[in-house]
Amino acid sequence: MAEERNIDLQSAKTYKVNSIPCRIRYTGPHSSIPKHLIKIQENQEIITYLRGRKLHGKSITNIKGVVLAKDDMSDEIKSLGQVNEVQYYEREGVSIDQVEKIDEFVKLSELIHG
Amino acid sequence: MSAAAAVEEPIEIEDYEPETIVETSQPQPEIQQDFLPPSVPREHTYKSTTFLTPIPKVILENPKEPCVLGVDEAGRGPVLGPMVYGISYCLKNYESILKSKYGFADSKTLNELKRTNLLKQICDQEGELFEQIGWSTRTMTAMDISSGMLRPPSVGNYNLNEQAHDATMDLIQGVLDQGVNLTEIFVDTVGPPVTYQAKLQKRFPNLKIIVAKKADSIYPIVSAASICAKVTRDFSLNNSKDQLYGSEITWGSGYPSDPNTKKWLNNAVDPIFGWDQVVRFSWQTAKDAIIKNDGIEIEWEEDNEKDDYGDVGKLFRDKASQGDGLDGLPISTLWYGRNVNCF
Repeated sequence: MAEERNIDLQSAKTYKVNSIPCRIRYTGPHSSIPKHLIKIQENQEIITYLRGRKLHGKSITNIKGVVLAKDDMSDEIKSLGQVNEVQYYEREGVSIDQVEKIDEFVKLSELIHG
Repeated sequence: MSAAAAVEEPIEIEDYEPETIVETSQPQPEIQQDFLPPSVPREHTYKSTTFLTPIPKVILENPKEPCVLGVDEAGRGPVLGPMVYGISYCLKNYESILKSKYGFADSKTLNELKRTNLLKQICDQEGELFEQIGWSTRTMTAMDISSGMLRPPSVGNYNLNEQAHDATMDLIQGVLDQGVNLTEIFVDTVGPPVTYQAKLQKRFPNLKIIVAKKADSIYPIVSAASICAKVTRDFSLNNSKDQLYGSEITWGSGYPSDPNTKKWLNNAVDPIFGWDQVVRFSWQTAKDAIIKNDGIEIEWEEDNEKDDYGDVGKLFRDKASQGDGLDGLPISTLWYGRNVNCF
């Protein structure tokens, strides 16, 4: 399991991740995201709607992530790009304070591993 | 349908609109070009908006004279576009002239051209109606309606009745805040009138309040309110269509029973998002159209709780706050004070 692989992390493409409180029964690309995923900046939050539900979220930018894909033929894991922003969403009326805890976690992690 | 499902969706909208008239014709383009009601947002917006006129001249000059106010709504049943609440008010001794001179009557008997012309007259600064009638509208967008109805269970849904009642009370309050000497309020309702009247009376103890079905055909000032609401709704819907999809497409009146609306809904489904912000996702018609057109299943927290009655106390409280608790009974139980449901 813990086999070491060399993964190219310098891939130029950057991704933004939207963490939303539901399960979408689909995995794969979707071309109409820019058209339909409308985001409205309101006070300190980002407001968006999905299937009639109102979601509010916050942006986390002090993190780094990688998008990986496994090539089915060669079993090789490739980096498709980097994640430089996560937008964390909750339903209307549900607190998004967890975002602050992610910040805390990142700081703590830096102190321990830094 | 289980009791739990009934709480999640308190009103089957399509069944709840007995007075719905289906108009398949589009608003006349020639009406549009020379008149746009001031209550219609210039740009399509996801946000609900409120419009309020200044106090009309005649009422300003007679601040002690009693005024009557009418309330009506347009677009409760449609799956597309906003629901608009309208109020209008005038001096009590002017109300009868609305009917005799201008023909304010049951809005169902007035066609679109007639309705638009009446609102145009109310907005005409040179005209008599402009000096006599004050009015206000609350345009509740499809997104606000849907998201209210689809709030997560931990927060509790904001059903259509509550949204409607709150909009009405805010509109009346807006006119009172201007300092208008309102004495009587007439409210058109599609729901049960008894508890709604009690609710309004409690909120406005100094006003005489009458809630009635088909009030727009009885009281000319309610008819005026219904025209303000209906014309605002029609123009808003058409504006949104033009701005989002272009003037060449047809989507009918927006009622689920309109074949053009159905056709548009079915053809425009995006597998993940469904539609843009003009559709009321909380309507069964919309939910069904997503499934029918191979929309991708999206599961929310509440979807796993369908068979659970949850907090039974809350179920009763919800029922009581919807105002359905008493009206289902053949007689009023108000004699006995608060209904036992409320505890």
